Amino acid sequence: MSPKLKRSLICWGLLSPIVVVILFPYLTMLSTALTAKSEIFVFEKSWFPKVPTFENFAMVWTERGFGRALANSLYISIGATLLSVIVAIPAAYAMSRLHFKGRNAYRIYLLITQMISPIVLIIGLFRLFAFLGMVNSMNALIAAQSAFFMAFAIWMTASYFDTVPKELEEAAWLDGAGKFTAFMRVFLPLCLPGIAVTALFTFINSWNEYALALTLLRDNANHTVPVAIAFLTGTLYEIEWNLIMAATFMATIPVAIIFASIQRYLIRGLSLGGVK
Amino acid sequence: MRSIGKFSPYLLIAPSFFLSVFVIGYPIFDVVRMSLFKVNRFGKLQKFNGFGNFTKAFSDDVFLQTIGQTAIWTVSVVGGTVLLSIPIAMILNEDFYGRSVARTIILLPWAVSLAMTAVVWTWVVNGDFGTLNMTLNSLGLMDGNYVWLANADAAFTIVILIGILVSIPFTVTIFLGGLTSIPDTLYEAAMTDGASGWKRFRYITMPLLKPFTQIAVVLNVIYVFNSFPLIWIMTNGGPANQTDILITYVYKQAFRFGKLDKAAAGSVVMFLMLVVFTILYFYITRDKHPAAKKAKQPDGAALEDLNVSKA
Amino acid sequence: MSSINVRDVAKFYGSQQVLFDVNVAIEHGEFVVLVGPSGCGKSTLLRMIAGLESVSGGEIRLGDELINDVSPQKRDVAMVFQTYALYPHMTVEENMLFALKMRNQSPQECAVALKQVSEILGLGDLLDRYPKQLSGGQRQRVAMGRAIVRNPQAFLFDEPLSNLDAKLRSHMRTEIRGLHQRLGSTSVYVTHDQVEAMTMADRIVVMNGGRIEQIGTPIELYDNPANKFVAGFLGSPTMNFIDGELRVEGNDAAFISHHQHEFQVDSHANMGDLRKRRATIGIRPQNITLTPVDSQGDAMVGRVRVVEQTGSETISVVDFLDTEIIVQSPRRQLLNPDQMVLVEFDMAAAHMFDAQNGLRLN
Repeated sequence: MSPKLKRSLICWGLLSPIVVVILFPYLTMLSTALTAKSEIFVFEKSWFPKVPTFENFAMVWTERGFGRALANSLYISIGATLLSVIVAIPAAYAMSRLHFKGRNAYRIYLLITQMISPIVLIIGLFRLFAFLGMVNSMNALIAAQSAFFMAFAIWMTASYFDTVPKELEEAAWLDGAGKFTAFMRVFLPLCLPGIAVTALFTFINSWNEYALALTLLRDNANHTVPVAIAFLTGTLYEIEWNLIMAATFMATIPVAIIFASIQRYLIRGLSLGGVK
Repeated sequence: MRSIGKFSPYLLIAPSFFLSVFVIGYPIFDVVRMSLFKVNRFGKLQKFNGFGNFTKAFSDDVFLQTIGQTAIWTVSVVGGTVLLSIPIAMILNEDFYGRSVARTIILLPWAVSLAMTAVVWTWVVNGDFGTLNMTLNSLGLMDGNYVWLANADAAFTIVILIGILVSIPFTVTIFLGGLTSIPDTLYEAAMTDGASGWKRFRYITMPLLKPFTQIAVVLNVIYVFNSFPLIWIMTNGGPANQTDILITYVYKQAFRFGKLDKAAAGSVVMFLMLVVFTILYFYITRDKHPAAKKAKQPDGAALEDLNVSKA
Repeated sequence: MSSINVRDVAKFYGSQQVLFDVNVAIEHGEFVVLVGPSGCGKSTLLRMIAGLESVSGGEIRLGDELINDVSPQKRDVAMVFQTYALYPHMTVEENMLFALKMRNQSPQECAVALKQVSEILGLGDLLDRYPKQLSGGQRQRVAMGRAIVRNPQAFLFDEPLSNLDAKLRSHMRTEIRGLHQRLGSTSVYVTHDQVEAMTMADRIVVMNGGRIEQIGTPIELYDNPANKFVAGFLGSPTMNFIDGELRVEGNDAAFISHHQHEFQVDSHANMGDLRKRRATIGIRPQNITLTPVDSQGDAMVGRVRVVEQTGSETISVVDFLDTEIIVQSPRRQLLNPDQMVLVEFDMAAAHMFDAQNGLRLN
């Protein structure tokens, strides 16, 4: 046996307990989502439904308003991503490139915004948006989420900006480009991968956010996916686990795939933009 | 500097600053103010109450019990997460077949909404029809069904274990970043110096991971302390408030019982606890050998370098 | 092409002053090298000419125009960076044409300029490549092309060769020099390598500690260094210095080493009226000859410590008069460590410096 094969067996062996525990709920989710309602609440259960069915997916979509929740979530997540990235890019440029009085103070300020959970402030937030007449407004949720995601977006973007050599901008200035042209034509294209990764993470964070969405959007029609699904479990009647799992599956898998495809950028320690 | 003048730094940070002042700054002010006033259930400030709300909160047995539960919750989840994440990160840092698959699986819980994780696990541990009981029965580890979330100890243990599970991805990522920052040559040098595997871990990996451990502990404490969806969805603090933590307590006070003043006081207490923890933690784990840090700076700092840093 | 005039220029970072009273007049078409140890302020001065650093005091003129407050994009100077700073997301062609596009030149003008420059530099085959697909030498060449294609008022070079290996570096030295002769462009070139300075410059500006030590042609600086710093900085191997005392009586002058050995020196007006002063004698390794001897009685006998043969010449390190001197002989001389040698200085080529202020005395 080659040393690498041996090492691989040991590594997988050590990881197997946690891998099983992580995958267990997803397998449950998949199994239940494919099981007809009549088969769910029986005591002779098995992992494999006798007759796999897709009717749960259709039903949650048409009869439980899941499509509506999905649309709300998309609107909010795209909005929060755009707003976060748009305010983060100039701030990250300032933090990465310019030296000004209060730069360190701003760094600490951003850190503090990350120490405060939205939920600690949720009463204040609720009152703020109630005062502005924006409870139940999806745009209010976008603003609120962006404020909490912004610091992360600034740090991450700034860490990409840091990898672009200063000389590139200087060369562009000497080539006759103004500050803004140099930023748009030389700087930004080099940071695009980093900004894309930041945007995707922000999107995922927003997509998964629960507490703010639960509190600020009180109307059922405005529910986001996580809130809508959690609500389905809170009914006093028989809980339709087959539908809930189908909904969870649809809400989770696309995001998990996006995440899986970009997670290596996280591990690489944000050192992607390496341009030299 | 004149040549950089056209991008005023203050103009550039202004949008982010005002957004956060609006959404975070004002509510902070509002919550602190509410904590000092009597507030009716419609949120109207009535009269200045000094520290009355705080004394009221601290004389509530449930609040005190919740503080204890919050401590158990935070310490167990963060402790368990860090202890598990270091070996996991070290394994994932090895070169083996299927490593990227393993990484993806380990990081998977990060991609999924905590709310949805909570929903799925609620179903998994469902007493009558859940797959956990089913699997344990079929493996012969258990006979009959157990209603996990009905018993306070079992329920708290389960949410803590799930809390660890969902905190591992982020923590492993931090440690992987730390491990990849340690050059292989250090290990090679240690090997030629005759250091065994354990000694290499003890004298190279551990000390060089220390800053990453600090960050992992502080950030996890903040996240876990403030973590809401898992407990809210799985147990709602029950049975009999025995799985409540401060965040769910405060949420209940505000949105279920309409006691906004008490909830505000609870929020302020939570924030102060976090600030005190962070300061204490960094003080206790501070670098006791500042000389080591100084040595890293190049001596006789060349003025050519100064150009770059001050330009 | 324009002249560059730097007058009384100062630079502060906060309260720290890094340039003092810098005055250089660079003629139209001249190739000037700023040289000095790291931290001497040479790069700062170059970046001030480029507009990348603000001017704290004095004035910089490009031609007749005062450019202190002109932003870099309006200065019409081109710079070749140490790291080349090629735009990684653009092809070689796009890199070279970026500046022309910024100046709204027509596609026809661009095509003509591109063709011309890529021919001069032999970049024809590389135009579609991206910087990361190029070797170090090719990148260097593209960086030069990007500067040349604009036909700017002046070229600024910031240690452009320091990222190349030794062989390529000496090749590029010749090539840059050749380009300058061909284009006649005003050029300011920063380096810490005195060989580059000596071989490339029309005139050298030697800087140290934020001040200009001396300006002159390479030969002037080599033959008549104004002070001990310049004497020690230029030339390879570096000049030998021996401390002692200078005694002047009328037209007779003598230098007494600490070892009480006396060297006859030609007197010079700079030596002044002082009868006695502490001084340093400087002698280049090439102006010393060694002859193997048996005895050690004579004060002028030293002991060979290390011998390096380059094949064509011999470099020896010799313990002599309580110090250590380096001797370069232009032929193959068979010497062994520990061998005793008679040391002879060519006193006509010796330099005399004041021990206190380092200024030249002959």
